[in-house]
Amino acid sequence: MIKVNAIGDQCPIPVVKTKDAIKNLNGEGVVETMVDNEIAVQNLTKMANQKGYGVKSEKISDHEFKVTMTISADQAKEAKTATTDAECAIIPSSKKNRVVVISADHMGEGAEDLGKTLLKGFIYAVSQQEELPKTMLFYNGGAAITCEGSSSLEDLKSMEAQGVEILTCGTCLNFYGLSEKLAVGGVTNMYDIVEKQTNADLIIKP
Amino acid sequence: MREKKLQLVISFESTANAMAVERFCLENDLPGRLIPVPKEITAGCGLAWKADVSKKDELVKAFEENDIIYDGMYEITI
Amino acid sequence: MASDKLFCATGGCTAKLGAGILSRVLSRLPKGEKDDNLLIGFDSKDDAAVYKLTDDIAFVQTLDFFPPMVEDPYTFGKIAATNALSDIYAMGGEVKTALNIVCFPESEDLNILGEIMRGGAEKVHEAGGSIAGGHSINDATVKYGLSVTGVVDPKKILANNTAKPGDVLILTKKLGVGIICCANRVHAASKEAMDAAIESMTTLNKYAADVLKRYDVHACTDVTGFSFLGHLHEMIEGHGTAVIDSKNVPVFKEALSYADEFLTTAAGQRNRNFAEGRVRFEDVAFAMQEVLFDPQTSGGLLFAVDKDKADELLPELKKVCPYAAVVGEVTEAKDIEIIVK
Repeated sequence: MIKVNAIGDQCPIPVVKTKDAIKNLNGEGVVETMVDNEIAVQNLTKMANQKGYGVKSEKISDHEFKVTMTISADQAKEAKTATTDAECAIIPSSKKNRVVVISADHMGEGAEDLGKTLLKGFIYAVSQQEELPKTMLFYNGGAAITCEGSSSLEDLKSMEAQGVEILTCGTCLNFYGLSEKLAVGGVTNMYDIVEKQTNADLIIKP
Repeated sequence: MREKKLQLVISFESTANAMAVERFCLENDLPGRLIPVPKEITAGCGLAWKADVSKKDELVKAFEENDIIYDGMYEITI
Repeated sequence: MASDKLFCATGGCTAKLGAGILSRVLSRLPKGEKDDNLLIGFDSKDDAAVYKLTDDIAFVQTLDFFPPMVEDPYTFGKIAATNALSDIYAMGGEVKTALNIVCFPESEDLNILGEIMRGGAEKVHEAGGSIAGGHSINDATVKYGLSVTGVVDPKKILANNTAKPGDVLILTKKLGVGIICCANRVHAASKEAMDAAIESMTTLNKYAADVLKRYDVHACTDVTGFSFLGHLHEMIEGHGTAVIDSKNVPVFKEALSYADEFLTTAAGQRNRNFAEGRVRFEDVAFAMQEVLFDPQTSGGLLFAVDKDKADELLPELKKVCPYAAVVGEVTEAKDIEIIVK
């Protein structure tokens, strides 16, 4: 038996998760889906009836319902081979925690103007990745990149709007007199800077 | 997911050339920005100028008038 | 994540309270003193209020707002405004002024709000109206909409519940945008489907309404959260039976395939629960049933008109609404209110 927890999920997620579980049965079996509202029970029952699965539901409490589907070997086979547009419907939750660290206003050592151009290109390329980093940290010379006058603001703002956490070292902003000029993201401290990097799966530095 | 758009990408023979074009465009208020050359294109150097496709004529004219040499001009979806 | 916050889980008209719950509450409200100039109030279940000022002028008032159903804030603004403006057109009115209604998290990037309101303003201007102000609240999730005021000649008001036997029913937009947005939420909708749905949701009903004004339309409503069958029920209740030919109903074909994948909304199921006892399906595929119960954000107009007028009206309507079609007819009352074949 496969148990599916869809408590707190909005329709159609309970149905999507349950369909996924049925695909993973690899033969006849039972899928038990927990949901928190009656409409989700009805939507699951509707699907089971259409597919001809055995289905029963049980109210456990006001916000807990159990829907049990019994799937035959043939039905499991059909579910597995059905290729549809709706494949890969669940957003991957195992997303890697990537942290980008920018510690200077240039990339690499060498000619200053080239280094600045390269860093600008680097940040643009980060913003073009299919999977964006979770966090971007800016410290020391890197603090200038999140401040007024930086030519990377557009890229950083677009990433922030897509959920990337952008944090600049407060000590550094203060030292360079940039505290009033921060133009994107929030301010952070050394403990956060250490913590974010400690918890990262991957740290990316230009 | 990020939405891809058709963009004008102009490549150059040398990095110094690309950086000079960036300075020129900024000074003359020309549209676009410098980006690393997209993987779809092979070019002499790693930097390219990206702008909206509709700005093509404006850029070509400015480049010609100022004897700016570019390597290739592409319209790609990035 | 910022985008998750904006990209609310139950956007658009799928976020409406169910018709069932709502009518229980509304029926218990104190009615107050009757004002004869209030031509249409909520006792008719119409979407807008109409108040007569003189024999020639009444004002139409309406309000609509909801959480986002698309990721792009500018597009969301356009959809929310198109949807809010629609109620005026369903009444036969003309848009004059609109007030913004905004719920927005203070911590969020204000540029996003700017984009939403830019989309809204563009649609109000396209409708020929002016944005005259608004009200905003700091709230955990984004919501946006408009309160719109328009004018109408009291003699030419299009009520939603005055269809007659002998009328044919015409729908001006395709059905299924709710299911497509729902599939999009789990990344299962194709870009083409989503683009077509957005195109439909941002098309003002103004152009259809302009055609309708030249004909004697008996009843008109816009198809929104309560679904095609829910709104049809409001139109037909007590006036006969509607016989719908499902083969002629304009639908997004992708919506049918997503419905077959059970990518349907909770609101759709609530609509089914509410209207099911009033509807008999005769040999109609499951997916089509789901689309007929699908909550529509900024859906088209559904109206009733004399059968002999329809032949003249339809070609004209098709010029501005290419998918418009006769979807059924009204007959004398039968054993059930709605029959779908």
